[in-house]
Amino acid sequence: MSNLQELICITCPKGCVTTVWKEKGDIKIEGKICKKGKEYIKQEYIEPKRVLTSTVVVERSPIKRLPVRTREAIPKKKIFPAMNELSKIRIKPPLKIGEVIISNLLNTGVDVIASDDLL
Amino acid sequence: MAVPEAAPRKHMGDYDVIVIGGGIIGAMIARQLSKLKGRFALLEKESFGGFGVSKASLSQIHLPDFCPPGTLKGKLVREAPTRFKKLAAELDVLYREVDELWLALDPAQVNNLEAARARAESHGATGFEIISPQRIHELEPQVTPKAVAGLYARGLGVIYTPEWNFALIENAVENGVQLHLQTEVIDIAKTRDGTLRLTTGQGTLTASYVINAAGLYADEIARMAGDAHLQLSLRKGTMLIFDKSVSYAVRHMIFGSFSESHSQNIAPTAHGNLILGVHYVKTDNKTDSRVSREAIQQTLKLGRELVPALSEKDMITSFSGILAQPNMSRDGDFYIAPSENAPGVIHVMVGAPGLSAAPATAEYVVQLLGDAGWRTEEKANFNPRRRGWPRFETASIAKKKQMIGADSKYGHVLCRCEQVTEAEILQSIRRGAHTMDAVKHLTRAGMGRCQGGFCTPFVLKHLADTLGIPPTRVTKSGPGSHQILKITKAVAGNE
Amino acid sequence: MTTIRNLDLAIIGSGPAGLAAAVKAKQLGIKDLVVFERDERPGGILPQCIHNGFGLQKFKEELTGPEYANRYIQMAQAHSVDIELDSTVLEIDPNRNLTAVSEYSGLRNYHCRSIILAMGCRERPRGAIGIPGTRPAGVFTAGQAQRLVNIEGYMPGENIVIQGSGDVGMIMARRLTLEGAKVKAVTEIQPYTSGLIRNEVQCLHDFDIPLMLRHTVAEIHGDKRVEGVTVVEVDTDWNPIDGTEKLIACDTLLLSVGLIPENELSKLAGVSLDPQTGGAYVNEVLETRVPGIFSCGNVLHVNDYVDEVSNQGEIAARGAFYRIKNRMPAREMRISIAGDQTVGQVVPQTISGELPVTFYIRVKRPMQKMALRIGEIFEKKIPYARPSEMIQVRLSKKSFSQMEPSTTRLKVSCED
Repeated sequence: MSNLQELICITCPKGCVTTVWKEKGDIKIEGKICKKGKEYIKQEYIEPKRVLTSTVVVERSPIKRLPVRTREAIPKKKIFPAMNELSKIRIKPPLKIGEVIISNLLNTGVDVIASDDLL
Repeated sequence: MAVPEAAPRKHMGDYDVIVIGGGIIGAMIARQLSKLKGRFALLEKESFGGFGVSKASLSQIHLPDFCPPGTLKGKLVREAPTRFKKLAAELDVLYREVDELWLALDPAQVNNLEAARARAESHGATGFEIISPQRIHELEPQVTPKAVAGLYARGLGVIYTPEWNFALIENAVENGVQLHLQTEVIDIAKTRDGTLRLTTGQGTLTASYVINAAGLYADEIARMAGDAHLQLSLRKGTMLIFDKSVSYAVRHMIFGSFSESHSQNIAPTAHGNLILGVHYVKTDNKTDSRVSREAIQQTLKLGRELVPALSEKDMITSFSGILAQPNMSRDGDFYIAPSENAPGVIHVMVGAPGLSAAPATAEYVVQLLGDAGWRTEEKANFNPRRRGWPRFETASIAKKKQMIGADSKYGHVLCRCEQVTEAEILQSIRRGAHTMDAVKHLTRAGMGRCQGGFCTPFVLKHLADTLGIPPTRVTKSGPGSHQILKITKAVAGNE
Repeated sequence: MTTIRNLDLAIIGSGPAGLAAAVKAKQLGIKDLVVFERDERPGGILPQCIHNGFGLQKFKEELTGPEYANRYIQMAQAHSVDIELDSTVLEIDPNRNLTAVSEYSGLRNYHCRSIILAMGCRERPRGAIGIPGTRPAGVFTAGQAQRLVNIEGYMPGENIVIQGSGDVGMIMARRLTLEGAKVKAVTEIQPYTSGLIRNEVQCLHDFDIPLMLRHTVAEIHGDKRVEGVTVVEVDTDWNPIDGTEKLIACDTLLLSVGLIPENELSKLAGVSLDPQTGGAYVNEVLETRVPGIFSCGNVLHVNDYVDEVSNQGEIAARGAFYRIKNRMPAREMRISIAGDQTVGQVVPQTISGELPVTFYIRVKRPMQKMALRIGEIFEKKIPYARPSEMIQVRLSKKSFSQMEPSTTRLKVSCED
């Protein structure tokens, strides 16, 4: 049994603890888990993904920072490189909530969008 | 006296009298000197005066019932409330009248009350009466039922010492005293022409007379003057502040028992909180202001012995301060006298109740200067009146409208808990409060229930903007105490 | 001469409670309505909560705090809600007179037919829990640090210890790590985190941040700036265990040690507060014991989800509407609701029995396989309950019809 991981399901407050491993190309899960949880655990094992929320620097405005988010979850391993990309961004008003700040962030296919209006 | 260092230093000025120490004693002396003709300087080693011993003060103005008969301190505390009331009007600072109630919690303590009354009378303070438990409870319904007798005196007061410290220095400077902040004295030497040369971190100064009002460091200044026998004994005192919402519980300055390790005291503060004190531990560490869990618990216990209804959940903060006392005399009397080894140096070493004695101490120091041969002549153009700035929170509706009419920034409340407005915060910064703590203690922003939770970013921004410094250079209390470390995503060209 | 303006409804606070109340009030037809907001922008605490996880119930999406606030701000604009920014309410009284002040409009007096309190919470500061030690720069509450980082763009420090594993503490652990700081530990006095499991995984495990359960900060060190903290293990009574002290070098301490409903204005108006919640005693339409004054959101009691907060805003608006239109139930406050020793809080504390009610209940300690009962009229088996997870029970008017007509008390109990 290689690639053994202990993963906690977060889809509901129960927080079921599972042990997950790959056996003959199949993903095996040991531990009490419901159907919805199983989906989450499988994804978390294969490729954990996270929504990234952060801020970008605003220029020419008394407002200093604009909150931004990835529209969907991106691979966890790209989080710190993504933070680095965001640190280079400079924006100025006006901007509307939902506007794309970075398109296809680090080739994930996911956009970074404004999480608030910047008037 | 040590030989000064060889490196050339900036010469900062020549004066008739230099006061070392910008705490309440030094500030009072500086202001008293500013009434006279002459060149005067006040040296303070921090970036703001009054944050040493003075800040640990309970801010209570006493009558001489604490002072043994025949002591200098007793003489200097006489009529302290009257003096403070007059000064309050001149300096436009807060003075709140409070009466005293000293309780005996068991029959053995009744003797203490009698002794206190006798002490007061020996210093000319009549008007102390011993009262019954019924009368005690008429005056203070929430006081412990264990009180068997009380010593009652009317007409004492409470202030907020940092406000007074600031106002005194402002008035002194307005009347010609030169203020040197962040200026720490490291050496005192006699010059060939008989004056004294002070070497400080910022440069040198000379003076005919030097007043040592350096508080916690008065012993070190004394040593520089060759008077190493003048020593201080130190105690760390812990005090608690209770929320304004329980201020109904106590209207008097209530005392209980006293010992080496405690001074049982609960009183209203000038701003409407309650202060509980004081738990003492001996220390020889002047910078140890750590509050211990034990000290908090002990102080709470002391307070609750006097007013059992008080609960820890109403405490909004605790703090410790180092209190100094000259230990050269058996009854812990003040030591205010010319130096034995350095002509021109006058040592001013006080202990409790130093604050109460401050106005008379300043007058006494001027008298000693006269005795030492200096010709004291009053200035014709001394202006005793210093104008503060109005406080929004305590103003009437009509006054509030007037304040907003004159300065619309009085309409912008930044500290919600204490109702402190942008106008007051800006005034304090423009007039010398250059750190978060200085702004806090002069305006009360950050001293309420949320302890700065809401207003800190605003105060920080105003300090940065008004002083023209980056926010990373704004400090809590002077160099080394920066509030924030850096700007996020700081890359070249960003802020 | 003082000008007094009449309002049908004053709402104090433009966070998720206040804005939801305002929108609902407009939808119900209340016309003369002002929302007073002391900050420079609407949204309450939400603009600084840039993480996602808000609005799953209300909008079926996981929004960020600003996105959630934006939804309500848009709705408020669509309903022409008057929001006065940079306006601080100085005073309210039992007769619903209200005094507010702002730089641009000065001091203003209002008489209100109804007032909705939506002031939210403040954080418990260091002074209130008396952490021993020095008082250097570098001690912040988690929310304070959140504002500094997310709104102002300041890093409070580089090497950080966080006291308290509530959601705000864990969220900030992640946020600061993403911005380049090293979070050296999160201490928690209980044997379990007081926040969501999801945050434990995504804020702490993801970044290998040590979670020290049953530990607390015993002392702060540092003269001018924080230099370190002593952390100590505690027993089941939260007493420090001698010999377990560990010194952690750091330059910043964040405190996430509790939220306190901000009821100072409420007290001025004579609103009586329930010591269990720190908020007002209310009925099923969230009216306090002062007629015409309502309370909703975190100022009523600390909520777990912003959706609940907005729901409460809507209920309070409905209550204000009933009060203004004189449509309150005939026998208000007929039945008092009391929890037994297993219950940490139950809101509302009185009901009429003539309207549907949403009960907000917290247990006092973690319980498994628990039977929650409300009098004889409601019972539910709950497999797993913790004090940090509020239980909501919605009862229709019909549930009360099963009661004895002369009932004046309903007991809430949890049995495991």
